[in-house]
Amino acid sequence: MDNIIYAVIISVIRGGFYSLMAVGLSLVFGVMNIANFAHGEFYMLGAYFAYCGSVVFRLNPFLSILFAGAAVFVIGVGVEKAVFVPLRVRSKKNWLMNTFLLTLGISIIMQNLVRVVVGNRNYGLRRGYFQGNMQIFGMGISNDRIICFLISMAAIVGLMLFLNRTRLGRAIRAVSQDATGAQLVGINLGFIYSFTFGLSCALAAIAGACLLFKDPATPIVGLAPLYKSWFVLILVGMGNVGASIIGGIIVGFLETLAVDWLGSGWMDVMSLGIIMLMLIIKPNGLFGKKGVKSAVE
Amino acid sequence: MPEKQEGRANTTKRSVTDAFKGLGFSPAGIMAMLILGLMPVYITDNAFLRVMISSMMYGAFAMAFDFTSGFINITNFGYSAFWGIGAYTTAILMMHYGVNPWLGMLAGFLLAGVAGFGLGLLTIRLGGIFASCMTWFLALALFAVATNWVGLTEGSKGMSVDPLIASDSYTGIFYIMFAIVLIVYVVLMRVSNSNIGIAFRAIGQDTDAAQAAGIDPARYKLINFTISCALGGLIGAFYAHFSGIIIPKIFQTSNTVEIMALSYIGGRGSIWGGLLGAMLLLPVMDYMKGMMEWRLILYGLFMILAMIFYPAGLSGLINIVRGHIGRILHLSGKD
Amino acid sequence: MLCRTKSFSVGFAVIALCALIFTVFNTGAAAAADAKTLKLALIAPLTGAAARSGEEIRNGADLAFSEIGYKVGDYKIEFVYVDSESDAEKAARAYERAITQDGVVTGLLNWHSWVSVSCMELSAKYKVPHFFGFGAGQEINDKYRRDPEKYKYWVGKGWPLPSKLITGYVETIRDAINSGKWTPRNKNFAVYGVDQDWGRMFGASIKEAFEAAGWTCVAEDWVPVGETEFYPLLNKIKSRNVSLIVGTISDPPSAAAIIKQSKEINLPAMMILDGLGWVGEWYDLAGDSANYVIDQIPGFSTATSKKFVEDFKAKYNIDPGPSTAGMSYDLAKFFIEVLKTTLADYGEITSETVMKTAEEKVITGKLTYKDGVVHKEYKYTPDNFPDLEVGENYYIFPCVQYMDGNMVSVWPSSQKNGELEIPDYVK
Repeated sequence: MDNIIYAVIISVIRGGFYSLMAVGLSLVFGVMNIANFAHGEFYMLGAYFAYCGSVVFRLNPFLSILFAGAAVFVIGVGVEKAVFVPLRVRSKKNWLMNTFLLTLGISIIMQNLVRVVVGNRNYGLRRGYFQGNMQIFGMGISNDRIICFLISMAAIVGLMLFLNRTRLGRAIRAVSQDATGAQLVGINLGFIYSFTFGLSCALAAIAGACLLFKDPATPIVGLAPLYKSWFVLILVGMGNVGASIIGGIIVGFLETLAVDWLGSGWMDVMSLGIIMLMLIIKPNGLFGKKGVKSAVE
Repeated sequence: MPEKQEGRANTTKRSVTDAFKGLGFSPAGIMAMLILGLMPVYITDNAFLRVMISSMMYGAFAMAFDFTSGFINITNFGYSAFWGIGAYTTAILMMHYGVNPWLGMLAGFLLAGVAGFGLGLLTIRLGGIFASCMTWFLALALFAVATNWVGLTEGSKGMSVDPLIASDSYTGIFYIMFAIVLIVYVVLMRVSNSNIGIAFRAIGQDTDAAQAAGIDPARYKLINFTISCALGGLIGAFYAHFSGIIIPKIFQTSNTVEIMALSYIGGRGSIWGGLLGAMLLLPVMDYMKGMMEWRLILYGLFMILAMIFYPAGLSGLINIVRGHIGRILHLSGKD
Repeated sequence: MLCRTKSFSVGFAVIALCALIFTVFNTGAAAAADAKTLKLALIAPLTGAAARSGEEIRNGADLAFSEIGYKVGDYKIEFVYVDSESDAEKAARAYERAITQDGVVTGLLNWHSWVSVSCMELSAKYKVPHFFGFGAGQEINDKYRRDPEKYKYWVGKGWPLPSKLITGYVETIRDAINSGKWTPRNKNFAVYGVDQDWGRMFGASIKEAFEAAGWTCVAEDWVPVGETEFYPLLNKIKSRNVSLIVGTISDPPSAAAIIKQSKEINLPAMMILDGLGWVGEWYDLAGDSANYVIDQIPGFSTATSKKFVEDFKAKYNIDPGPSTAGMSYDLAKFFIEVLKTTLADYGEITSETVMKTAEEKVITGKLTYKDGVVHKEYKYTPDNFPDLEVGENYYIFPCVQYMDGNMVSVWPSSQKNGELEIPDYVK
């Protein structure tokens, strides 16, 4: 019994990190209609900045995670201005598919640029952020894991509050529902787009920074989280930020189950099998809101 | 009398051109194919021939990929799965059961077609990015299966595959690939120029409108996926014998990205754009290998610039050039 | 009019294509070799996921050659880097170009097994000998055995089959038990490995070896490349009640992750992890969690190897890993010996003469390389070719135990500089 509870706890924590990535992806897809395949690269940058903050500047863990988020926010806004603004001016037709390849291009550039600039060394934290372990039902869990899980949950809750309670957040939601209408009531679309993209990148960066205790910064560290966040996003559907927490936990749980029953290699088969099944039965996702961005044409 | 004779000559000439046109070749296309097809005659450098074979292979992939993304407007983000299915089918049949590789390639073609049909069924209700994700997830799942089903695929240690023909010269293998390119091109052009092709385009532009006009999207989606994936399987089967060893990494997403970039840069909805893109880009990329990471950075930059400033791709560019030349000639003709 | 338009565009297409082909050719022709320049192909994954290993291999070889000023006799040496991109087909494409257009005479090194398999074909086709590729896979041995006369041009693997290397682990554990130092609770063990050719081969052979030594395997698991989340796996292993877990993980972040996490969940088992020390910064990644973990890795313990580490760090600003940078340095020096011998024996260095040296001296074991920074002696014998001779005085990976940022060598007895420590949690 203890073992089962423990398994549940570790899958919740595992899934929690996927959620934070998925939220950013969902935000950008909902507001800007961009299928962002460069999301993992912002995660990667977050990891590098957090390393920089924590080892080079010797900031405390919370500050270095915040530093990573802020730095990548700026980079994200820059990328949006440099790439998506010109595209938006020119491309009306096939926007989604154009952004698809565009973000793949961004991802290739960023991975290799990072490799040129900082080299191939792995940058990791020797002792993690917070040393020590906790005991839960006689089994250990590191403090890093618990605290960083709480940080990522706080980030998601913060985002939800921001979207629901602030003027800017409401404006973002308005744009995601009807861009033209929002423009008519005087919302500056260009600003909203840049801000949203930056915000989404910052969320990815926070995820990368949180997980630095476990995943050292390398040029390709963002690949796996990118995939996982797409799994979560498609599983829960678009336009539902809170639901991605549940989605992340479901994916985490499926993977834990697969490791237990079949072996680590079958993790993807297990989670993808369920997600594909879900796509067939309920194409809008488990918690997809009708009319936001529909899967069915 | 002479007039009459000239007329007859014209008719025969026209019927020959018409026959080629029916196969989907413009005069420029015929010339390009001739230049390509005669390469082993005037190129003696084996390494360059090899690059050309690879370029044709990627070009063929890009053409078959474009058949889905450029016509029914669904990006098959799991296209590498069909490459892998084709490659592993022929490899397993040949190396485990001693089946003739030509039959193996046929089997790869058929099995990939069946899998494509299955994928079509899975995506039947989905559109846009959701359909793409479905195809992508299938490829990722198959990647994991190919890695872990060691009894069948020999897993990540890889599977040695014997070549199609044992020869030190690339001429034979070049013509096999060339024939595959022709088959892929002709099949795709024939289908896309027929009524089916019109239906595809209609679905790609607006599914609801197409449905209102009496087109059954589900049926055409299935046809499209089956053809595109089956051809992918055929090319994949060729790859297995050409490369000499296959590993489950064939299924990985970066392979799809490569094909997709070529087909997008070549120009969506043109079929031949992908081939042109591959024939130009692959050799250039190969010769820039000394630049290490910078080469890939340039590649990414090129992808971005192409998507922002020239989403119609190379085929769009060439069509415009052609139009300009035509107008100039037309004007000078009037004078 | 339409007709003229068409023919015009046909002409345009022809000119464009010809221009392209000629440009491409001219680039190739311009690189034609001058007589006294010796061009060598160096295959490594310089871009892509394995770029880190590729970089170390290239730097190791570069250091070896810069020590001789890139000169052998009156030959000036020039590398033609063949970037394998970790892909068999792309590697072969680049390798063939290096042979036919850059005119490489011979070549050295490589990383992935599957790249070895596809490039073997080309070195045989053009009769260009290629030395000491790292790929360890059985596929390479099988291919060589099928047609030794043809594939002899792939001269030796720089890395023997994993099954030949693992005896150290079994003996270390057996010695600890026999000497009464460790009395395990039970004789259950778990095998894990990264799902790559290397991991699978290593896992299979070490499982067999421990089973032969009287242990029972109760769990077996292959983790995807790059996985860093091991709580579920370790929890599963923990619930099976094992006192030993053995395996390999080749990418350092994953290796560090499994070590750290096994400590976090208090896995009460002795841990063997092959591959943590493959990169120099292992301690920065794993920290003191690595204490008590057993690995098989050559330490840089001799004076020459310490100098190598310093030179390498000074020149490339990165810590060398013994089995990548260190071994590529050694093998490059071995290769330089091959070139020198060829020059002394035949007066010129061509593909044929190098191959003759390889056949007469390298494969037969007459020409060996001694006192490398990593291994004592690199030697091939006709019996074991294409594998290197493995043994205490030849090529051997000593077992080390990590302790507070140091590697303590515990096996074999001749290279021992400390005793194996058994942590309290496994007693």
